Amino acid sequence: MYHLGTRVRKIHTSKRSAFQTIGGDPAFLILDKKIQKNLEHEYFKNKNYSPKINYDTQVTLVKYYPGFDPKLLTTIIELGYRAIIFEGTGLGHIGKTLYESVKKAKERGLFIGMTSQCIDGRVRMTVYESGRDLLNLGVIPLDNMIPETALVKAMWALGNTKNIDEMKSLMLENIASEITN
Amino acid sequence: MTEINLDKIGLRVGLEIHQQLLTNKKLFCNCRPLESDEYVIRFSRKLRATKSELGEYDPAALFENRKSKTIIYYANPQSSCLVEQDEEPPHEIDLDAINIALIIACSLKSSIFSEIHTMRKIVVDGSNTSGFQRTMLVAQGGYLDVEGKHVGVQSLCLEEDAAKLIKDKETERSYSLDRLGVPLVEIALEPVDVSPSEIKKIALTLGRLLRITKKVTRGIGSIRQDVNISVMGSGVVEVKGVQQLDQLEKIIEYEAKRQHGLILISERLRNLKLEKVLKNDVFDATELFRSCNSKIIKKAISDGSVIKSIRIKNFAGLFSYEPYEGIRLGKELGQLVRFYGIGGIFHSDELPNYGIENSDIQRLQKLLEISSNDGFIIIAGENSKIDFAIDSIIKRIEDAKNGVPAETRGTTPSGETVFLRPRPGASRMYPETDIPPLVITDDQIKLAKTNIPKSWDESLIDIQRKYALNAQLAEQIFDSEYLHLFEKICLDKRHSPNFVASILCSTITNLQRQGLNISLLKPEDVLKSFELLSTNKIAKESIEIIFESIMSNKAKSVEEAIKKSAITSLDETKLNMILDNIIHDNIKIIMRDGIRSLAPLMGIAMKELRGKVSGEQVNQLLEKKIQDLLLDKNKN
Repeated sequence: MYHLGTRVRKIHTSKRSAFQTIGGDPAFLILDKKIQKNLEHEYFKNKNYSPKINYDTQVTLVKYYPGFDPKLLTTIIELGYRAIIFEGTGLGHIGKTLYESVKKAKERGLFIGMTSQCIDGRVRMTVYESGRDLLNLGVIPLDNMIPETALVKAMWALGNTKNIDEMKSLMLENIASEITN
Repeated sequence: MTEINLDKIGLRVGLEIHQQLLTNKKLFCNCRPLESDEYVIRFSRKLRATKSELGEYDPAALFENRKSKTIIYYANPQSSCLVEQDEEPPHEIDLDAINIALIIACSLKSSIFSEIHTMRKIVVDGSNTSGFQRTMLVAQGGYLDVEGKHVGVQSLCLEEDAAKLIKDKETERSYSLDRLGVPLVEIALEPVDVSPSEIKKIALTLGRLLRITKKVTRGIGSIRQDVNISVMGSGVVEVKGVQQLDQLEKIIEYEAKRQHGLILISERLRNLKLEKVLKNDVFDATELFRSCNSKIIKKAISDGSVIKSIRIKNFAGLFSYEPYEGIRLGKELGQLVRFYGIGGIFHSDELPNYGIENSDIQRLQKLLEISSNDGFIIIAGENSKIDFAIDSIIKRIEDAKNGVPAETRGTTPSGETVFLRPRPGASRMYPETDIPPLVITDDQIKLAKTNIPKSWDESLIDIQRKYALNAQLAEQIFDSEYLHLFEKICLDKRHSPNFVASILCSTITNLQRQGLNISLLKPEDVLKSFELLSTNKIAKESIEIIFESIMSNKAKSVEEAIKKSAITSLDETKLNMILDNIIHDNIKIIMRDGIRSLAPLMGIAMKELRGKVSGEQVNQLLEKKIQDLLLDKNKN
């Protein structure tokens, strides 16, 4: 079994089957010594690439937990980070105590994306009130993007544009199956 | 018994049309609306009625709940995802569907709301995995122009379609998730007091208004009509799922007769000043019936059923009182209990019969302490179900005094209606909290207005011109389910649109009338057949043979149909050989009748060649051969 880098998670520290594709089928399967392709996205039909190998590492991945100190977020902002990817709870939530800092981050023009701590599934921030609050604060739900993928993608996006609107549309554009149906 | 006068009973009929929209994806997820042949996912659920967020139970929901069935769902990942399985919240509303709904609202001149709020409508028959159907009120008001007369529009809603019922057994019900979540518009028209035939015209006009948008799906099940029917003094009865317009008239007439009949029954009941039936009028009669010779009763007892009897004072003759043919209270009660999984009832007016003898009746009357003036009901069923059924009988008898209870009814193939469930109350609707309100912008409405399709007549003229069809065929093809298919086939200029239209409109309909199953013939099969025709792989005549073979389930595919019916395109040498053989065998007839022998010989030839070569070609060739032969003969 072969996995796509954008969709794979290491789910066990040592087992042979430590790597698993999340939210989709593996990219390639070996059946009867033959490699069977399993990729259907338009991107994989494209034979000509013009890679944009720029990145900016001023992005951080923040896992939310009860008791999370909002000052940590303030510090991240003050350190000059340009984007924050949250690993929120469930459908994509963080506590009310963080709202002020999130607001401040938005004012400073940071990109704030939301992924989930859950292993599988997509964030959906219209279901609960706290999700809707965060949407109103300008947090961008990143569908079923894996947090680590979102982090790296944000670094890449930031390397290719400094415009927050462009960055937002890059983050939401499904480029290499980082978002699946 | 008298004939009913529909003009004098205050008949009012309101139409409600459900039409699937033609979009690339479902209303709340990215899945495509496809029909699957096989299902790789199977899961089961039990649905329970819960209080709505307003703290109330819906009567229809409670009713379904009492039947406590296990629901089994079949799914295919191509056509459904976790949203349909109720394992994931709905995604964003599909804007395409919204825009189509807006176009339809604009063409009905309805007032569009500036914000659309999604609501949940409780449905616990299992047809929605979540136990509710999502629905959005898009517009209100406006009118439908039916030959100059305005029929008011009550509301236009955008909804998700329900799952498709596959099987319904006593304890188990199965659905497929293919259709769940497909967008549909529900248009409710104001009730009008017109004749059943005019209602049919209204339905046809509305159907056409939807079809000319070319943004709605066609085919069986893609449009469904519900009818709300009432007569003066009755509650509103909703008749669900009328699929064909021809059935509409019949159903309205039956329902009007039933409702007026029930009102006549209620007048008689009220005159008698009957006492209310109470719990202490119900008796356990299982022991009493142990010695009964009725096969039905014997079987019930051996199956472990209990037998109960309800006494109703002064009720003799009222179960079978029949103001119109087939309209009796006894029949209503019999239908009612069937929905609790109980086969039926016996009532005093139909006994002795069914093996229940006079002696049994006398003993029962003694147990119930009643005389021959009084009525009774006998009912058998499992202990767990019987009390629900008895409660509903008692309530129904009470309701009978008031005339027609508001309820939801289904249709039968013969055009009658049968009890389905009580009519849902207002508490079945509550807000969908997973989806934020959607703002409709002025630009969206402006766009919709510019997309209002041409009128029906103009569209007909367009299609007549484009394909050089006559008016009748153009109308037939537009009214049929096959417009999309027709246009697709006619993209290939080698086909004559007139021929394609007549195959789609009359050949298929004829096969259907012969009792063949239209649902077996898929659009791909039709396309494939025409493709083979255009490349001369088959003859014109073969198309009907292929369709017949598929629709009668003799073949599963066009290829199989061709193989089974031995349709192959013959090469000319073979054809010449066959015709020469026929001429050789029938030389006497040719010599005797000359060119007139062409007709009988054609018959012989076509028997062998039907579907392989076009009749026209055979005719030409055969005629030439006969003429040549006759010429030769004259020369000699």
